[in-house]
Amino acid sequence: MTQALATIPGASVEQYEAPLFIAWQINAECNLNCFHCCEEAGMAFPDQMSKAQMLDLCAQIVKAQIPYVALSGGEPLICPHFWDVLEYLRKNNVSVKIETNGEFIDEKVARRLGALTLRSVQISMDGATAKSHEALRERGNWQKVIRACKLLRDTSANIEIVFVPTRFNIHEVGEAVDLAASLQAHGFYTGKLMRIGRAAQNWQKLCPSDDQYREFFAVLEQKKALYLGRMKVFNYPYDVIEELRYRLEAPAASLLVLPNGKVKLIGPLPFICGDVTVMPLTQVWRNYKKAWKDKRVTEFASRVLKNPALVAEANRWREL
Amino acid sequence: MQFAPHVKWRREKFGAVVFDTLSEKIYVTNAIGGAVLSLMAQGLDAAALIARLQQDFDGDPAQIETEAAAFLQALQSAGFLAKPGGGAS
Repeated sequence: MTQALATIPGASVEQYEAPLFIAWQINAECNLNCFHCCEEAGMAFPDQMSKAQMLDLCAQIVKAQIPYVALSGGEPLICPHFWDVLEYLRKNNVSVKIETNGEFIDEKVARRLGALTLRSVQISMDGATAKSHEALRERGNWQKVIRACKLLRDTSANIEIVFVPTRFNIHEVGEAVDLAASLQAHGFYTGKLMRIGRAAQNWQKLCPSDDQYREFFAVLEQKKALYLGRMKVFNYPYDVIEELRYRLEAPAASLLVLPNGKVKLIGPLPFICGDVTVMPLTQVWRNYKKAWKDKRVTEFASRVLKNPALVAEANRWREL
Repeated sequence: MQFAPHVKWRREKFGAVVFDTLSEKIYVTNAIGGAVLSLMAQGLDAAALIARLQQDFDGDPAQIETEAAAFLQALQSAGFLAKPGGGAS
């Protein structure tokens, strides 16, 4: 399969000179303590990238003509270098998506984000009510999320709502889609809960039943039809294991950069294929492409496919 | 002609890749498609772009014109080009 892909121009990651997408977790700090956080965000890493290192990575992204970067965390808006990174990338015409809990978006921040013409601001809203949202997002404030969406809407920013289904909130998905539409969101994104990080630790409490998922996807289909042409309602088609199976055959042309500059192969695997603080991005990209054929990766991945609970090891990094 | 906001492109050895970052869809093209995208990025309009292709590539000029126009139309239909009066990001 991989060999067949390689014969079609542009179909294989091997054929790309650089990634097409960088998912960059710029910090690990977060003001919340969400029970389903796949990054286990909270405290800063002791070795987080400095401002100079971040701007150096930005310069390499621009030089390599990487078209699209997602900035996440932790909560990226509390990273002291967030604006430096964001403004550098936008000034150089890189499309940027921000993934935030929305709690730090006041009038001033909304105006500043709006002025940067971002690809989107993606806000986590895990409920149509404060009760559900805050049950999952310890210390979270649903009202602040709604306010952030309204403020961003007033700047004409592209808002995307992300909803993670769990036993606590899955019944509210229809109302959450309606709420996103009323906030004039560009899109509503959801998919199955990923068994990584704190979600793995709390799996028995959080993971919806098969019946709940069936109802969930049925509601989403109805909402897709209802909002067709007005708001994109998207449910990610793969769970974390299905995605891993697919990516083993066809790795994405993307890199996942952690707050300390280490680069993960893919979220569900623990492997680190480089470090942007000590090697050029071009080297990391070469390592990434090679790493997918590394025996340690393929063997571990095949174990994960047989025993999905092993995904819980995803945040215990292993250097290749 | 300008690319629509959030549409990016990059030359590759096989030709070029066009990335609509808003829809997160990726399209690839061969070397001639890459040349068209490159001329577009230089700010050439359709007529100037076709004239340049006819100058740079061997082949029947009428066929080059037909194929280039079809390619530009495909870019327009896919939403890759900015609407008149709209800017590129």
